[in-house]
Amino acid sequence: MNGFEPRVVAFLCNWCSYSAADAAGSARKPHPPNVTVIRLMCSGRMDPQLVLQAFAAGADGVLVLGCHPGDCHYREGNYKARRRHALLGRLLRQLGIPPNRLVLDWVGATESDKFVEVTTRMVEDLRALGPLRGNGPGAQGVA
Amino acid sequence: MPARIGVYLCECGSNVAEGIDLERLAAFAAGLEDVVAVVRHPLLCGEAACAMLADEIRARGLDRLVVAACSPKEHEPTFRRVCVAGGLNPHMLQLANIRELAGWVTPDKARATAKAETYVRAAVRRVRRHEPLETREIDIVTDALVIGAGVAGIEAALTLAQKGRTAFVVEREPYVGGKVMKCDEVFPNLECASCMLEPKLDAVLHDERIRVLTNAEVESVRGDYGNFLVKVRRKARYVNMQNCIGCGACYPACPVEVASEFDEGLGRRKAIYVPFRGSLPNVPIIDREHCLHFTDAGCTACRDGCPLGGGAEFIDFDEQDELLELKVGAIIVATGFEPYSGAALRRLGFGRYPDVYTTVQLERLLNPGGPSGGKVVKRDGRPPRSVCLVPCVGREPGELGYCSAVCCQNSLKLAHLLQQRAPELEVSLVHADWCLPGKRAQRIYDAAARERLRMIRVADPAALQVSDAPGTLLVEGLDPAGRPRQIEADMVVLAVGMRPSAGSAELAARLRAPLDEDGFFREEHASTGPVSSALQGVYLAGCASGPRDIAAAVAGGAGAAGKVLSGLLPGQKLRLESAVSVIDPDRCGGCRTCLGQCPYQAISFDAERGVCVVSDVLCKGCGTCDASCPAGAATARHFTTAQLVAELLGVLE
Amino acid sequence: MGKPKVAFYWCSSCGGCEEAVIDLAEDVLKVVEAVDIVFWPAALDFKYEHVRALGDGELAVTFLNGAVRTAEQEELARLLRRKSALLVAYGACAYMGGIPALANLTSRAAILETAYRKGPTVVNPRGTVPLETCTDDGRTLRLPRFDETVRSLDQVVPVDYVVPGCAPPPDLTLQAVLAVVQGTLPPRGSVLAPDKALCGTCPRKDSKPDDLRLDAIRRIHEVIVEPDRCFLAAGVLCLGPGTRAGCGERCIRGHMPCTGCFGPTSGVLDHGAKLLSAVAAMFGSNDPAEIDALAAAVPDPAGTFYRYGLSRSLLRGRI
Repeated sequence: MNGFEPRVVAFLCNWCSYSAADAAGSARKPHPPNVTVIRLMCSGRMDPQLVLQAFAAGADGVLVLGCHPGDCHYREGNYKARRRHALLGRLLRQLGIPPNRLVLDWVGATESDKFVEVTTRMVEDLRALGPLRGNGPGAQGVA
Repeated sequence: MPARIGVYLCECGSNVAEGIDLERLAAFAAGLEDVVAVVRHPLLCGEAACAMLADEIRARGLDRLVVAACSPKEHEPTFRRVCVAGGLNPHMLQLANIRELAGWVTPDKARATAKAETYVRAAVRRVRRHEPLETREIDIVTDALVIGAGVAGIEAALTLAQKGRTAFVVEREPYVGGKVMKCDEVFPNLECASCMLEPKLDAVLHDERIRVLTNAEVESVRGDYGNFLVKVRRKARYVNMQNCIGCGACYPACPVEVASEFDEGLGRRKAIYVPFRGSLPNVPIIDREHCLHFTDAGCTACRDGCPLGGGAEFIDFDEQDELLELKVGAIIVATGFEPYSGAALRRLGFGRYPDVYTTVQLERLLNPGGPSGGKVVKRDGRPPRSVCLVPCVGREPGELGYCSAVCCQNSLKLAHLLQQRAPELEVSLVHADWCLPGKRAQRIYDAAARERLRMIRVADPAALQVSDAPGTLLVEGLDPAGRPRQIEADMVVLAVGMRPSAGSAELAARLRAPLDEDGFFREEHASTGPVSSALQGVYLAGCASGPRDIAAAVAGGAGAAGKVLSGLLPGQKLRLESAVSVIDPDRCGGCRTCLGQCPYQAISFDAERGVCVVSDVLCKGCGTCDASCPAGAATARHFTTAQLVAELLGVLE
Repeated sequence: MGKPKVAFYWCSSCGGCEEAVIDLAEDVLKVVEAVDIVFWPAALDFKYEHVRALGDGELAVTFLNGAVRTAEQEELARLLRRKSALLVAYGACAYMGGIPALANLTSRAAILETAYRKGPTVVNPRGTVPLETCTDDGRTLRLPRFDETVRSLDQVVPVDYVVPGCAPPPDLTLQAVLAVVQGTLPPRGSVLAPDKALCGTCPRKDSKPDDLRLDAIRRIHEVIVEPDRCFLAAGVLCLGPGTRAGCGERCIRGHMPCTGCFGPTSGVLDHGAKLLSAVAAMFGSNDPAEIDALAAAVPDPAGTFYRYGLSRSLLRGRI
């Protein structure tokens, strides 16, 4: 996998995780440029359609970050993300996408270090895993 | 017609310019579809720059704006104002956060620039899908409903009235003042409760801005914050509130006698009665369940005993429940608590041994208006030789599971009052952990410790047992060292905790305001939103949201009223969030999956049309309904699937 | 002017869609009266030559059922497209890949291996598998190419309309034919069924609670669901919340939950993802272990949520 640079889409909730990403920026703590952030208001907005669309469009990994359980700005959105993630993970496995390509984690607004750590680890894991494109039927039909 | 997008790149002093090759980024942006202008600027958020930007929008006929600069959390509001100044809808804007998410965190300038390109492309793709969103304003009612006329509800009503608002106070009981009225003296200052409350009760009953509805319950609630429509059932009292002078001549005339609820079963009352002497409003009520007029063959003893003649204008057996419809903008829930009444009481002999009492019963015995005229006596009418106070009744897991926070102070107060009334009385106070918060509780304890009071520490109050021996009761348990302890007393008093007010679940369902796992009304946030409920426009005061003492309950009442006063302003409209969800009735199949997802109860099911409907008053735009809608009928405005997919494809291109 | 010419054809299909046309019963006479059927291999002896002999666009409409997996199917799809003014994807397989599309969860090689070598009832000592060309005794035998993936019809040629269902119900079929004849078709690209989810017309909808919570997930054989009770309320997965109505609730009335054959409503990007999202939303717990247990109790997520729609899903199959 020499020279392989995975592409990661990170869906961040507005209140905790996006704030953590901003805080990492203000503190000039680098995170891998492979990770591109898309802001959602809440991790509960994480629609499995978006995750599948990301993989279909060439993402090697998808990261969903929300507030810690109990801290959700919208009370329970992160639990809803947790439910979707549990079932979506099983589906993805059947579709040839191993669990470490879709990661759900909690990053609080002050946890800029954790944001850097989670994104860095994701990219490292994916580098080791290699590109997502396999040669299954699904890989033929998509970009 | 193709979009006309302007992309504005902010150098942010040197903050962005240093880490990103803005010349390259500008060239890149110029090549993106529908981009008609790319402008670089040293500092876009400055006042002059904003004015320039607004002019640019007009001059170049832009219909969408991308600002590549700092985080949207920093300046999205600024650039939304710019849009408005330039004649654009504020939602026709997208920020590309190339400072925090690219320049500042990517040491290699070439890679930082590439990353910035990705964000700008994604923002351009997204903004093409943006739609103008209306900012809606609605007319509101500034009056409020207060449910519960205890200390918290009364404080809320008085605070509202002080500012000229009408407050409707709905009280289930036939009297105002709530549970506090059962007490004789209350901590911390050992004041007579009824004397302390008298002026407030008087004010609440006589303030022309406050309409008190006793013996009444909330039947249904429709509408949202700003415009609730509440149906209240005022149950028949059978005694005319306007004409009766409250002389009390009808009570002795009544042939029926039953246990008094207000006296916790220790005293008796008639079928026509006031709950206690001096209860307000001073008009009796007829207990339909026991009154012979209703149960048997038309007894009219009370009428006959009425010195004013007892006609239908005084006592009206044909009175019907009255259904009132109230229009209010906000609702304050001040429904209080019930004393704990679960399994721990049976373990401690309550109901089995006549001389095991609850602290509430002891309050009644100590009260001069109570069943014994203020004398502490046992069931046999004789004063006890020794009293043992048992702590933390119901606190254990599986029962209440929480500390009610007032029982320690209240028990110390009761022990003190017992000693004061009968200096020779032997008072034992069993305790485990003291809960003595705040600036006064410790002093109550210190004062009690100086008295002839026996304080006995036990390891686990949940392991205490009560049994009887000839001529006495035995309280048994283990001390902290594991040694058995036995306390003899001929009167045992159980310090019961607080549980949610009866009917909380039904009321919560009517209000659509959720309860917590203990059955109390759930605060919007335990620390930062203690007087707000999870439902906008419904506020919480007193013990409705959990156990607290009188001072905290009153503070909560004032706080909740403050929320109403600051949120609903006379003559002003309520401005609604525009980036909220909407459900397309043509697509919604009425599956109701979204109903349970909404954290704000903003979605309701319109059974007539068979579709779910979002209240844009209550929705806060989290988008969970959109994610969960299996039919693609729910749309989180400004975070639509189409917009997010456009952004995503822009990222991954 | 003669009656409009109509063709029916099948690709990867079980034959149920052909039966669905027969299910028109006496209404089939209305169809025969209104149109001239010029090609219908499943019912009448027509040859491909007859189709090739037609002018481009001469067929008023072709109803094509079945997914596309072989070179022959692709060739006929292209041919019929060219000859038809309107091409209708008829049934779940032509529309979304259908049951055959579940083959996209595995590979062509694995399918041939299982079907011709490893299957428990296979007797094939020489391990022969079908080849596109094979020469034996100087003669060359050709078989159509067997594709790596199963495709929906619109992934092969442009499709004008869709009649959904596995199989489409007779009333929708008749309406579609009559709409063509009478020229009352909706905008091109439409699915010829209501754009609402099935819950709206479900005979059991009144028993559906407002706050539906799945505390356990039950298979249909594990629980008796009263005839008027919502399947989801009984813990049985029913895909009615996210599946297009118009089927006449045939499964529901037959005491079986909806399995999604009508596909999604028009606002949905990926039917299975949306169904999955809704089911996960109904999980009645916030406890991670309980959530995982509920997720684990959903039988075969791909087979449950993409039973009919894998070809048309965002990923189209196993990556």
